[in-house]
Amino acid sequence: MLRYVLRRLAQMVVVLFGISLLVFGLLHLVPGDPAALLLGQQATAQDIARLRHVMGLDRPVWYQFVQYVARAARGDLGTSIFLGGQRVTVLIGAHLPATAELAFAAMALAVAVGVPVGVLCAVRQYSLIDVVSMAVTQIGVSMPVFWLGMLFILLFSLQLRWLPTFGRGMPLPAAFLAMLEGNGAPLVDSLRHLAMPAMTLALSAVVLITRMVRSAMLEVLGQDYVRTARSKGLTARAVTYRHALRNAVLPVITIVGLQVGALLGGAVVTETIFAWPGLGQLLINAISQRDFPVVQGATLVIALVFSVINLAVDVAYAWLDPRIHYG
Amino acid sequence: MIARLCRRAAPRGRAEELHRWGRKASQDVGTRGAAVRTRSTWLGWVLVGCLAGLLVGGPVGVGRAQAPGSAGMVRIGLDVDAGTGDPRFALDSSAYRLGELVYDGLVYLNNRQAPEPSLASSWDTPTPTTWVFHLRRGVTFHDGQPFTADDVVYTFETILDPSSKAPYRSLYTPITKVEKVDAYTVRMTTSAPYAPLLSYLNIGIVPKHIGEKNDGSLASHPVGTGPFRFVSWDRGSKITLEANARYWGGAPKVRGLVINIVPDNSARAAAVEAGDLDFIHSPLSPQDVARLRKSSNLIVTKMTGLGITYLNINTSVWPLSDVKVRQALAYLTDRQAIAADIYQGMDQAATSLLTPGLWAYTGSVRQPEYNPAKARALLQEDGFTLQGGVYEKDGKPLAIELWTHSEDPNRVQAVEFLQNAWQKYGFRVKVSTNEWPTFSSAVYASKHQVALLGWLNIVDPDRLMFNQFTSNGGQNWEKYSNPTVDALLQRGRTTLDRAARAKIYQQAAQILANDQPYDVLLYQGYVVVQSAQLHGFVPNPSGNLKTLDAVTLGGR
Repeated sequence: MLRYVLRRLAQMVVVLFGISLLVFGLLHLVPGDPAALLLGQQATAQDIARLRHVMGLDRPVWYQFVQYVARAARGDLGTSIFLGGQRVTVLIGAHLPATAELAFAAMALAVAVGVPVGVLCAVRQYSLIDVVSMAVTQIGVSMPVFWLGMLFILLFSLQLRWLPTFGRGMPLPAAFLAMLEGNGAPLVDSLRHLAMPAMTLALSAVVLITRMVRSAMLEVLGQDYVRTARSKGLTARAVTYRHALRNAVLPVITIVGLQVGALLGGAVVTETIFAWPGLGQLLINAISQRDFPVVQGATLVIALVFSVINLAVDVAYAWLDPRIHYG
Repeated sequence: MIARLCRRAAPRGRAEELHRWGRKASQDVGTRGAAVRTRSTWLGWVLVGCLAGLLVGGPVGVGRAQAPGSAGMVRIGLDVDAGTGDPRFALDSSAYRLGELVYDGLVYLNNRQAPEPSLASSWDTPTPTTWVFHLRRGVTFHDGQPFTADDVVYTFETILDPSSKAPYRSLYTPITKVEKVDAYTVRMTTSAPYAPLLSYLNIGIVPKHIGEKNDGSLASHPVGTGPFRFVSWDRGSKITLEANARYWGGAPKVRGLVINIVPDNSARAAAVEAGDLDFIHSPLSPQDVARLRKSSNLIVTKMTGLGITYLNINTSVWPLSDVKVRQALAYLTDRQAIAADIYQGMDQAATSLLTPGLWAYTGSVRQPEYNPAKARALLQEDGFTLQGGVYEKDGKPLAIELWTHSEDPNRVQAVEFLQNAWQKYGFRVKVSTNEWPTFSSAVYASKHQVALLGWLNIVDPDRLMFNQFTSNGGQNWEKYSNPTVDALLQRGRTTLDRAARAKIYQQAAQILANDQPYDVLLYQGYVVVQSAQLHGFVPNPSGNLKTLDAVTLGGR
């Protein structure tokens, strides 16, 4: 197992290098000059040329890439072109927790809803509950995220006045600590800010989880040992949860892992509507400003987290299913 | 009946297999199932707990719009995060807003864009190329250090330094020398008389003792002389400012400001409607503004802004190099319809390069107005003949490309509208939209034919015309060259008498209206939506929020 993990880590380095190269190449190929964008419409051609020289953009592309990789290996991801010389590592460090909080909350919600509903649908296959659940989740995933988000704001903020329209409360870990110290208000505030963005994001993940659990459960419920368990006289609950679900949950873990990775970089629309200060927003703004260091750094970090999560999922597989061995 | 619908689909009738495999199956079943069951039950309780929390906490939140928790802090909503807190390098609108609140300039441009004394309490021009500014005494920066002439000299020297990254350096290059006469007097010398200078001297003065450390700290921790001092910056989320009790113009009556970054225009409108924000302003969607007008606890104010939306027509490319073709396009552009239908009256149809907010405006200078019959006559007189619905001359069809950038849905709609209108009357129009960096870099390299974009912050006619229309001007992307216009714009810049300047710019604007290197579509509007609890705010069409230093929050 250890050899497997080490081999995967080595592969990860290669993948990250490849991604860096790809992003670097794309950024330099597409039109759009960061120096010109930084100086704005009033700048003259000489000002732009001068700034390009200062920023090192007039060097050959391969040289710039080698310089970038050398610095990145030392942990220096550069400074942002547009955000007042902020260090990229600091910027990402400021935005990543927000996105992580949102991604995990959305996945927790999706799993908390998707698994029980999937089990219910499998156990009561083709019943009214099954059909309705499948229909509702399908509709949910088909609605554009932007529209769904605005609908939630309309309902929960403007009509019912239950939830705030935008923003993020105190980071959850700090809010938990405050609660342990006796002040529960920050935690309630954080959860209220988290509710709508998490619901919006969760809706796209929940359909996948529900269907996955449902089909995996149906397959497992058709297995011989389940019939044996029933024939031994075990209660339905014991059969469903202790014997069937446990074996059906493996594919769900893969889905959850992949989705968390996707959400880390892809929650841009949700983050924009709810003004959630996350990595997706940082990345999209950086792309539209051609803020090269931030785009490189953010994609690198997202790829890294994604790879680590995938590795964790694979290791979890081996832990959960004794039949799986890595060599 | 419900029971029948919910009946599970249970497998039946394979008892003999069960018997055969029974023992093996029971060995396969492990003991971790109990953990799974507990886990899924636990998850279910967590979900129930969260829902209960929401239901309990929700109604508790009712009335939070009037919650005194944020007492005395005005909550503003802006669309982008400020790129920098250093006004010398400000490029985006939020950086400007932040700079105007934390810093002061030598002058302040009021809501009629007239310069008023700010850090300079008075000024005079002993010669047409010399400006002497007498600085206000007793002013301190937020860290307690006194404001003196050294700070003014330092600010402008760093802006003028060619190696600095000041985006608007070209506005200040006519200044050849900035020198300190004494602790409270500064003299600026210009290479030639430079009439627009005062309009550009509202840029924030930075403290020399912090700036010269060259550590970029002003970018993330601004320190100025302004009515509000910087407290904290949650990148991408919010900037907190508190009132400067020692402000020379009088301490603000509110405790402070919280600038919230809410990128989506509709979400920002929803926030002010729900009471989560006290103040928002353009950019806003016209439909949202119409809805917000109906709200009884909001005040909506609309006025003409300082921007234009226009078509940049590349005069170096056929058929647009032919002035009659450009004029025909102008006759086919229904600006009123664009203003009314696409912008819902938020912007108004433009008549020329003279913007209504400025002293040079006159309604008698006009571009060709919508008149398809005149367009047809003009093209026919120019030798174009209609072949299968499209005009042709010497075998070449009248085909043009119309570009804009994709971020603004109103502009995308406008180009589709124009494509329709122009194709109806014999042009062949190809539309292309791209994201801003791709679009702008192509336009700046003059690779476009007709491009829809805008200009902002037109505080002086020189700002809209000099670099754009002089023969080798830095922003002359349409490659227009007319010696008469060159001479007029030079005179306009170097004549100090306002009435004479007005006449010069009106002349230039009429020539440009006839020649059509720009087809000005709209004068952009400026909309403010504020809570009815906010009293005393005076809107400034430039978007400047400095008058928040005199507001009060009623009922809080």
